[in-house]
Amino acid sequence: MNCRKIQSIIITDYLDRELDEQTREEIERHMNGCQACRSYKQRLATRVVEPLRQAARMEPPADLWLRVSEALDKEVVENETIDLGASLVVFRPQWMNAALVIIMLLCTILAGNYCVTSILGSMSRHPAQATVEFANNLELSEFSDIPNEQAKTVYTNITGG
Amino acid sequence: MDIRDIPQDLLQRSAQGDKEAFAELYKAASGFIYNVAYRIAGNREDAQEAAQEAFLRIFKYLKSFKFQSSFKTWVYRITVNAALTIRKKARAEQNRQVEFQENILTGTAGQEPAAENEIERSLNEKKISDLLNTLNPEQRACMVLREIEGLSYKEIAQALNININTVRTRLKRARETLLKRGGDK
Repeated sequence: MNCRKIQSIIITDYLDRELDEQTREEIERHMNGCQACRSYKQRLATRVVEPLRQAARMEPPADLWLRVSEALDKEVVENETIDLGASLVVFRPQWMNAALVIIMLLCTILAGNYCVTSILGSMSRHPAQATVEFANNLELSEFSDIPNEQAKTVYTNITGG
Repeated sequence: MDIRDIPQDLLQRSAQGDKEAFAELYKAASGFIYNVAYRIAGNREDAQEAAQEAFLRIFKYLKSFKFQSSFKTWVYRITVNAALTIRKKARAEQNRQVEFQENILTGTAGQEPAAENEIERSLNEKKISDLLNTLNPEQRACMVLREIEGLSYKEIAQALNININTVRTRLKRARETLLKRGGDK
């Protein structure tokens, strides 16, 4: 193994004691005869590994349990509220759920049918009413531009009277 | 009681919502949960929030814990995730600097003016904090679990739900970054 390969092992598995015995011995033999790799391992140990491994353990503050305990109580209350809602659903008979769905479906269909009928009805009714109103408001004098007998015939045909 | 020694019946009672049992579990686990949370979150306030969140998640999900992996590894995963989430929300570097300066002036526990060893401790803490702050969150989590908690690669992989080669790569990159920061090319 060359120095580059050796150093890539030193920085991980060697420092972390993840190597099998044979490879570990091979790395140490190499370092015994290689100042660069020995120095590399030394720099890693002093600058990176030791300061972190010697870090003091931080103790939790005394009031942490109080905070956790309050949060747990809140969590339990919320869960009970949710469970109550869920239990109502659970205890409703299945046929009731099915019936509700069918009723809602029927209501939707009926409402849709009513809307469509109303729209079509108004579309067909309004032109007829307009025609009748138009005919009712006509006067014979409005046909003065056509000869007298023809005007009467047209007027009678349109107004019916 | 250490977290490794927590009896299974205590876990099961806690899982069923027994708060007294959970208080026992808290006593066994709070030290190490807070320590991991502190080292990843980077300051006390965020560490408390992360530890609280971790305990809430443990309480909530303990009933779905299958006992197939170690309880400690599961707790590591929950704690690291909670701490990373809090850190991402980050109250930022400024808070951490303010806290450090306050420690120097008032002593960490806030009871007495800073004694000499307290100042030394604060300086060590500052050094550790500076080292960890150089790293990205994923590298930081790996380094905390390896260097401070002493987990093996396999345990880190399980705790972070990543493969062992990813653990190795993150540790390598983190250490290279820290070496460069210390003057290596």
